[in-house]
Order: sequence, then structure tokens, then C-alpha cells
Amino acid sequence: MQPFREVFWNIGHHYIFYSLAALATAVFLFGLSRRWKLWRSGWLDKRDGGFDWRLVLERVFLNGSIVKGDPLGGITHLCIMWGFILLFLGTVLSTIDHWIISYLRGDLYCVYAFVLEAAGAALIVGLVLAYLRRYVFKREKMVTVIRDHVVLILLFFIAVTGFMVEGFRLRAQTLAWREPSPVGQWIAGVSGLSVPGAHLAHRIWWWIHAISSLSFIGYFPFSKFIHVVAAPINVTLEGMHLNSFLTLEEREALKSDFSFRELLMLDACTQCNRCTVVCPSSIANEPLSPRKVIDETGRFVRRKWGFGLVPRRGEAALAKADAVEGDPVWFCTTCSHCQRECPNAISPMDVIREIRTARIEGGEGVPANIQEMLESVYKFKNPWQGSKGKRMDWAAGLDVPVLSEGASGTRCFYVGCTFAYDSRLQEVPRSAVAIFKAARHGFAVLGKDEVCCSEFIRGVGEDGLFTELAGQNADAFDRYGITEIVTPCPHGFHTFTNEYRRMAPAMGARTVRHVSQAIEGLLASGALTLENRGERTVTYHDPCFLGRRNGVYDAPRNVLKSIPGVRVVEMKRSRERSLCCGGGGGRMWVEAGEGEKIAEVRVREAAGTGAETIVTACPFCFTNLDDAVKTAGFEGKIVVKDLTELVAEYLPGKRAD
Amino acid sequence: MEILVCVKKVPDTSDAEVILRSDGKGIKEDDLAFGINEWDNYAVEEAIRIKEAHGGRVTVATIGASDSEDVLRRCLAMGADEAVMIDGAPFKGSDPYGIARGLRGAVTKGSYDLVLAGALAGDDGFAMVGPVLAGYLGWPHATLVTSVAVEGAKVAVTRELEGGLEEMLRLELPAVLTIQTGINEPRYVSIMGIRKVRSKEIPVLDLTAVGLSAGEVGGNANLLRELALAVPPAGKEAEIIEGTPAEIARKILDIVRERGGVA
Repeated sequence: MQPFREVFWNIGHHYIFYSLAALATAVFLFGLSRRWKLWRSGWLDKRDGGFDWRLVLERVFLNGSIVKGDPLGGITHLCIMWGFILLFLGTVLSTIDHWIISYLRGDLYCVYAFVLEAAGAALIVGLVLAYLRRYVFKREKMVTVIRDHVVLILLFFIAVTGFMVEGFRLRAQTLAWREPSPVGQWIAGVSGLSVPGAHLAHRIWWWIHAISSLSFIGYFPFSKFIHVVAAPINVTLEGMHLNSFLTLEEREALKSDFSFRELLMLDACTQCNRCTVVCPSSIANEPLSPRKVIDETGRFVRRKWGFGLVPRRGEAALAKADAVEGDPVWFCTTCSHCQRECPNAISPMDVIREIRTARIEGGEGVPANIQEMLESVYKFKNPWQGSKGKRMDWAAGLDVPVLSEGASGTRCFYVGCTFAYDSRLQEVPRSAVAIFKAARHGFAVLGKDEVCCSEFIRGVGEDGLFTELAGQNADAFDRYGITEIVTPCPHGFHTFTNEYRRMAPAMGARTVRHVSQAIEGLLASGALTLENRGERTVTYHDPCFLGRRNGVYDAPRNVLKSIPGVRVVEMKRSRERSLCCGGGGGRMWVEAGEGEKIAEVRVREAAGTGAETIVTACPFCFTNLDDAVKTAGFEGKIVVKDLTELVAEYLPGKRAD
Repeated sequence: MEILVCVKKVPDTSDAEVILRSDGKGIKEDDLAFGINEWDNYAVEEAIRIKEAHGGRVTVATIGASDSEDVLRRCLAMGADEAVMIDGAPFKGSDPYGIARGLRGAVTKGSYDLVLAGALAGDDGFAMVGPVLAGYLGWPHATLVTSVAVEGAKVAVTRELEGGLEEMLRLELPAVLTIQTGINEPRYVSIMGIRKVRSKEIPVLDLTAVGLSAGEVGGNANLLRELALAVPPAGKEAEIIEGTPAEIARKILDIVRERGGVA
């Protein structure tokens, strides 16, 4: 006789099981459809088609982003996830075998039984590891609430009772073959039951196992298990890059304050806390926790709309500004580390930005300094209340072609407000001019026609002001026939690349390069040569808007490595794991708390590398790090330099300092 | 409660380099950024808060040309219900008396319980329009107001005095109040908010509409005569104290002692 397993062996009253199964399925489908309808009540943003199967394979099926940086957590999740998926598939296959076509016989049955045995074991191993991580090893800052116990205990109970049922069955049955189920065999052995006793035990535990499994199915869409559905969709959407920019006017016409993606993200979150662990604001003990923002916003939506229930048509729009209470949202630096770290491709940063927009449009709860900065950008077209007449002060004594004064050229050197108005940082555009001239690299500046790139205006959530100024710069680029933009400011770089591309294809058609990329090209082509001015050890601080937000990690490093005599050492947190200086998202204008500032944490880290110079390539990073060198007591030990400024010190013929 | 708020568009001169015109009668405005007078912004916010608490309507008025329209629209976006523009051309060169006469016309065209104005304007800094307007209207007034509480037909206010003192007054309505900065935290007005009131009609009142004749406004009707503007002479250069922080502290203490700052 061939090995096989009789479904419903030793079990009567099948109709009870089927009724309960139907009920559980109905609850499951009800919950899922409610969730789906809730997500669909949000508006859809336009994305570049293309299903990124690599990303889905890596993130969803291989848990790549969980394994990275936390191997134990990754193994734990892989065990639970694959154990769960295989056991679910096993049930499906068994149902087909029972109802449609009988095929689980002989060798195929043996493989089937063994795979399920392994899946069950993996599930139990994973759940034990999960418990150990949560309660014994206490992973850094892991947050636990009742819901987390419920899911772990329920799954564990189902897995263990599953093995018990199998063990009792093997004890009770007299089979002509030996089932490839070591755990079941072991339980059969140690149970010490008589054959009639095993029959009874099997029947009792079969029902317990069945009812707990069916309860789980019903509970699924109402628990954090909903991430099993939401996260893969969210990761898929992440792979389909955003290519649209909805203006506030367009948003007004939409049915919801939330986008599909946002509502989906709120359900895809499992509160794993990875975002908060890397958040610069959280690291500096400020009141912001990205995890809490997602949690509170999710609760807010559920409170407002019931548990996954959809708002009735015509119901007043959500007051999104209230989703998170108080000031935490103003502490976000938009460094995007949370988004980068999230295994489920959730972006707390974007949720925060949306809440900021709601507050800005409501007019209340906007910190005074942010308001003042916004007023300055509105009135002066720069955040520093610098008058138009002083925009070119940085170029005093230099021969710089100015487009607004009749010069011509197709390559625009976009200076940026902080570089133009900050007396210390004016050295950076001056250095860029020296480099371009040494390399005979043509350029022209917009002069009085240059206005703020407004990247941080968008970060702060003032989209109306952002679109206005972004449009003014775009008009100036058009008017002067600019085909290429080079800028020393990563924030301008971000606006002119990503935001412009999303706003209109024509706006994003220009070549945009950060000055580090331009210099890298000039060095590679031999147009620019640098002289040795002695040994120097430097460390490079990645600006978020160059690195994490735009993937420019190598150009500045290649430039540094091309300088004769300069040795580059890396900080522990570098490249995609770089720690933000604390200046993005309008944080340059928000007073920090009492404790250690974000930039001070960073300067301490930089000093630990033994470097004598911190090189960066962003005006905000420079200002924050330079201040932190003073406030953290590193003056005389380490200096901060902008990359462009450093390169200019090595130009041939220039006197060494 | 019907409230009229008088506002003015002024150049922001806080950080700008102010250059005198060659005729010495004004400053060069080319590179200056303009916006609502800071004091007026607080006045508008206060009016909207009173409206939110007691009901009624808020109207903003300015004397200016079409380039002042954005300031009025900003006030509408903040929450004002109506805006009125008094054609500014005949008022060219007017002193605060002339401006107050113009505003009187706007006040008497409606039936207002309260008129608010900024305590002073950031450009010429006269601080006169409010009190003079009250004089023309024959209404009670309070200047440098730091809090307002409406009590039926009266309004209780506090005013800022010298040396950190405050005066508390109760005025019969209708009254004129000039508002000091810091009385509230003005709400943020987003660009989107301003765009939303883009198409709201703003009536323009000419001289006859405000009950004036050409002889009553403009430079020739002035009671004040401006002779010239001048940049104040630079003061004596500051003394830089050098040394270690401890030495600097000691020297500062000596200077303060010497001048009787510490007993």
C-alpha cells in the first residue's frame, strides 16, 4: 500500500468544521475587503510602470532588508514567513487532493509530508527566536504591545498543536510504512498513550487545532498580520518609481486627504522600530520617533473611520493636521534614513511631510521660526532675508559671467542661497569659480534672477510656495537657454533632478550635476590637475540629499582620492547609513532641545576616525558641523571644509595655507 | 462685532542695506522686499481672533495702488471677510493726518464697532495714524495694545508702558486700538491660501467715495513737512576686549563696576 494521509481520519461531524471554516473565511474576506476599500479611498499617485521583480524578490521573498544589519532578525522572520507560507500551501494542496484530484500518494506524499514537517519546525524555531529576541536579548529599543504577544502566542499554539495532532495520529494508526515526520514520530513515542487513548487525544486536539487555526484566519485582517498583504503591495509600489507631482490645487479636487500609498503604509507597518533606531532626531533624544508617527497616524485613521471601515460618502475630510499631536513632526530632518531602513518600504518621512502640509495649510501649529523662514522665502526669495542686491556679493572681485546682466552660456552654475549670502560659505562658490577657470570649464550664473531652490520648503510642507519658486527658477533656465545645471548645493540638486522630473518632463530634461560630479569629470578628463600640498587625513560626511536621497556616494570620494597627499578614512556610519547633520527639512530653523545636538554626535564620530578634516558638500551640513565642532569642544582638533573649497586649495600655483 | 483693520505695505528694512535717494526725500526701493507691516499683521490676527470668539466680520483697508493688493489678499487668506482699497494716487506725499482722513472715509462708510491698526509702520515709524484717526472719528483710543477682551459694549485692553509696566483700560465701543507686536502669534498664510482668494473682488474707493476733495490730501495738505532724510553718523567704534574668557569676564565686571552698574 502506498503512503498517504486520510483527510478527516478519526474525525466526524465534518459539517461543523465546514461551517466554522466558512465563518472564518467570511470574517477574513470581510476584514480584507474593508482594508482594501480603506486603501482605495485614498488617491493614487502616478508611477513609472514596470514591476521591479528583483526588488520584490529581494525584499519580500528573501527578506533582504531585514537580514541586512540584523541577521538574527532576518533568520527569525524567514523561518516564520516560509514556515507559514509552506504550511498554508500544504493545506491548499491537501484540499485539492481531498476534493478535486487525489495525487498525494507514495513518494510524492512522502516529500509533501517531510516538507510540511520541516515548515512546521521552522515556524516553531522562528517563533522561539522571535520571543528570545523580544524578551531575552532585548534588541535595541524594540517596542512591545499586547498585539505582539497575541500574534506570537497564537501562531505558536497552532504550530505546536499541529504537531501534537500528527503525533497522536501516528500513535493511533497502524501504518504499513514509516512516515517521514520525525517530530510527529517523536511525539508519538514520548506521549506514552495507549492506542484508544491516542484516538481520543487526537480527536480532541484536532478540534482545538482546527478552531485555533480558523480563529487565526478570521483575526488575520484585523491584526498586524495585515502586513502580509500590505507590505508586498507597498514594496511593489516602491519599485514603481513616483513620477508625478500633484499640486495643492490638484489635491483639493481629490476625494481624500490621504493617498492610497499612505493608507497602505499605515497597515504595512509592524512597529519593528528600525526607523526610530536610525532616526537622527531620535538618536539625539528629541521628541520625534518615526515609528510613533506611523502608529499614531494609523490609530488616528482607525479611530476616525472605525476598524478598517470606510468613511461614508460626503463625510467631512480628515483633519490630518491632528493625526500626530504636538511638535514631533517639526523635528524631522527629511534625511530619509527611516524610509531606507524600513523592510516594508514605508516612508515615515513622507507621512510626516504630509502632516506638515496639513498644518501649514491650516495655518496653526507652525513653529515661529519656520514661519519666519517661510515669510523670508516668500518676500526675499531666500531663507536668509538677503536682499536681491546682495545676491552676487559672493563674487566680489571675481570675473563671473552673469546671465541677468547680459552674459551668455548654456551651463548654469546655480549658487544657492546659503552659499550666496553666508559670509563664511561664500568661499565655496568662489572656489568653484577658481576650479572652473583653472579647468577652462565654461559657466554662467543667474545673478539676480536666481531664487531659492526651495527643497526644504517642500520638506517643511509648504508646497504652494515650493511650486511657485521652483517654477521661477525653471522659467529663468528656459529664458537663458540653459541645458546643464551645476550646483554646489545638494538641495538644489534634488529639486532640479527629482522634483523637476516629477513636475513636468520638460523641466527635468536638463543635465543636472552636483559640483562634486563636475569636478570628478574634470579630473578624469585631465582638464583639472591638483598639486600635492602635504599629507592630510580627511573623512567625508555624506549629505543626505546627495547620498541617501540621490545615490551620489562615489563622486565626492573619487574627488578626494584624486587629491595628492589626501588620505580618506570612513566613519562607521557612512554612505547609505550616514548620520544626518540635523539640518534638513527646515531643521536649520528649528531650535534644538537641551541635549546633545545631532551634529555634535556626528562630529564626535568624525573625530574618532583620527581625521583632521571633515569634508562635506552641503551648506547645511557645513554650518551644522562647523557649529558642532565649536560647541562639542573640538576646536583646534578638527576642521570642517566644503569639498569644493578643499579642492581649490590644491589648484596649481595657489599658495598653500 | 464689525471690525476694520488698517494695513500698509512696507519694505522690509530689517536686514537690508538702506540707500537714500539722491533727492534726499526717500530711499531706493529697487532691491527691497515688500510685505505687510509687521504690526498690522498682529492687528489682523487679533481681529480674526475676536471674530472667531464673538462672531461678526473683519474688513481690511489700505491706501495704496494695485501693488498693495497682495497684502490685502494675504489678509483675506488669513481670515478677513472683506478688503477695501482706497486709491493711493491722490495720497502721494500725504502725512499721517492725510492718511487718517482717508481711512476715516473707509470707517464711516461702514458701521464698525472697532478699528484696529498696527501701533506703527516699519517704514516711517510715525505711530500716528491710529490716534489721529480716533481724533477725527471722535472715538476713544488706546495705543500699544498688548491684549484685548471684548466685554459687551466695552473693550478691556492692556497697553505697554515704559519699564515693563502695563496699563489696563476699559473703553466704550466704538473705539480705535493700535496693536503692539507680540499680542498674539499670527497664523501662517500659505501660498495656496492666498491663491484661493485670488478672484475675490476688492472694491477700490476713490477720493469722493471717502468724502474727501483733492485739497485735503497729498503733500500740499500736510501738517508735517519733511525736510530731509539722513543716515545717522556712525557711532564711536566698539571696544573689543581681548584675553582668555576669564580675563574678559573680569574686565567686563570692572567696566560695569566703574560705571555704577554693580553696587
